Amino acid sequence: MVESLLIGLSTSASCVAQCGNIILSIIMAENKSVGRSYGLLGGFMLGRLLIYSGISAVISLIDSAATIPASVTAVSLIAVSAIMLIYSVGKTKQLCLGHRFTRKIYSACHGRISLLAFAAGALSSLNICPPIISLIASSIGTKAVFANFVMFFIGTSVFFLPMPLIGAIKNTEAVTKTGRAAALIVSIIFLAKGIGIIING
Amino acid sequence: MNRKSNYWGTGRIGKSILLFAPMMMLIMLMLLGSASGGDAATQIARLITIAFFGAMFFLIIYTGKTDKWRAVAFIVSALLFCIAFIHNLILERGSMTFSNAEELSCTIPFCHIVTTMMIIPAAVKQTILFPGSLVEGFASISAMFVIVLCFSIVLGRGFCSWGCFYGGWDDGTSRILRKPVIKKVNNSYKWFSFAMLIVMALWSAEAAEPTYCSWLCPFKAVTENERIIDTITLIKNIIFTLTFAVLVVVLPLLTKKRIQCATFCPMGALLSLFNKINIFEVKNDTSKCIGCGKCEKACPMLAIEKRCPTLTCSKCGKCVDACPTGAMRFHIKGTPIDKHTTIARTLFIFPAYTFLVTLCGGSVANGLALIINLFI
Ligand code: SF4
Ligand code: SF4
Ligand code: SF4
Repeated sequence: MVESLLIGLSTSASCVAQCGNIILSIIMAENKSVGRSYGLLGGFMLGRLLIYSGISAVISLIDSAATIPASVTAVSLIAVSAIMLIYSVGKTKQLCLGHRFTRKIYSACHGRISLLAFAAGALSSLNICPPIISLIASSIGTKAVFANFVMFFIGTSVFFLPMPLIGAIKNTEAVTKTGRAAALIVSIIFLAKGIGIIING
Repeated sequence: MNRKSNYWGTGRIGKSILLFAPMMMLIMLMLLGSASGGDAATQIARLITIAFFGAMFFLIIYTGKTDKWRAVAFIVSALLFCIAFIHNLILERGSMTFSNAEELSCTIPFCHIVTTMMIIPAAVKQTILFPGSLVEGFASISAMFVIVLCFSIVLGRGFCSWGCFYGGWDDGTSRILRKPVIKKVNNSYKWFSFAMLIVMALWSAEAAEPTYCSWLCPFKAVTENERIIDTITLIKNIIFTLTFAVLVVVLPLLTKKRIQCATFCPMGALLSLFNKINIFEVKNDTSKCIGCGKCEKACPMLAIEKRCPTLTCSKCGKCVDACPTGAMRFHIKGTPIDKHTTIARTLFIFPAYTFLVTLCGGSVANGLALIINLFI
């Protein structure tokens, strides 16, 4: 378990690089108070934890490396892309492509925006990254697979913790607009990645 | 109010020469000091370059118009830089394109924009990812960092109007039409460049490559780009061409705004943050402002809000030139806004212009020599 915590801690930076774009742009786009931003981060982290728990359960059952089919990864990336689009244009008042549809979804989620962050966390975790691969490799055959994943999750969460402090910035317009623009860029990148996986099989 | 009375040198030949003389010496030192010999074309090119940069500086001082003459020097620098750069590439490696192997062997020169993608990988992964040598060559990582740090501290985002050898492209295209075809551009689009900065920095750390350079940079179209060997490199090259055509040519032409620099470049966003600690700024003396809005209309960087320059101001001086009352002016933070206007402007223009000549003077001379060689 200590080893998993260390793997998590040492790869935390990679996790921020991998998923930081998603949660940072969500927090900035929403631009809530520090407390509510932590709520968003909490939702996102719970989503990650859910998928990690699922993977650890599968590894415990089959006692070998669990792989996620490329098609599932591709669909999850495209779904993350859709969620980021909702965060990006969901609140816009101006007319832009698909804004009515995304506004409707955003409004439907109003008050439950952490739920969208939760979905983003869960879906992005289906995109297996190098740190997870090393964790899976070190977990096979051990008894405490789930505990290992939890410790890994705790370790990888370190770099995410300061992000909600962005809620303390006074220039809310600048933060929100930057966040929404970032969400749009992330949405395009994830869409391209998803399509890339589908094309390459 | 007589707007021209703001400046010492304005219209006064003696004072203008007094301010011009030290800069001229600096220009000569920079362009003749390290260079010796060369063929006739090179010598002629060097002399023309000295005369050109000297003349532009004199006109800035004498006419009191900052942006008008700055822009000429800036745009010419951008065009000749690309000509000299491409020629250099062809001499060195025989083509404008590079291969993945050359990239891996750290032989590709890279520009200041890549520094925006080095910060996070260097900080959180202790890795310098990018295809350059740490200490060797004219575009080594260490040299680039020192240059970026110096100009950021001294000029803030002033670099984007006084130093960057790319900025002259959209500065130039944004001036071709007399009137904009698209009249209103939402100032909020400037925040897109900050989003680019965040996303590109994190994405680069994830992908272990300078993603903006590899996938999006418009200036790849006029400098160097990856050789097309498969679908991926084809897509990359299509993107480079499209971003150049749309962001550097078409949109600036239609809006008269520097769209690529104001809304897309992550380096511009990073430099804007340095404006916070930089002592120079362009500021509105609201007691003289009549609210005509000419400054906002003129600003190519979408930086003016409610008649006041904001974080993204590149200190080009266009709003200062456009202001009919002299309310908009160069200013040193912490000093009274209605005093020392000339000193503030002069103190800013000297280092700014020195940077321009230092970074672009050599390339302008080389580019010019190539053109002269075509005729003699
Ligand atoms: S915004 Fe970027 S390309 Fe434009 S002048 Fe600044 S650094 Fe150069
Ligand atoms: S505010 Fe004035 S000096 Fe600053 S970028 Fe705009 S026009 Fe140039
Ligand atoms: S151009 Fe000058 S007078 Fe007109 S709004 Fe701007 S600062 Fe005020």
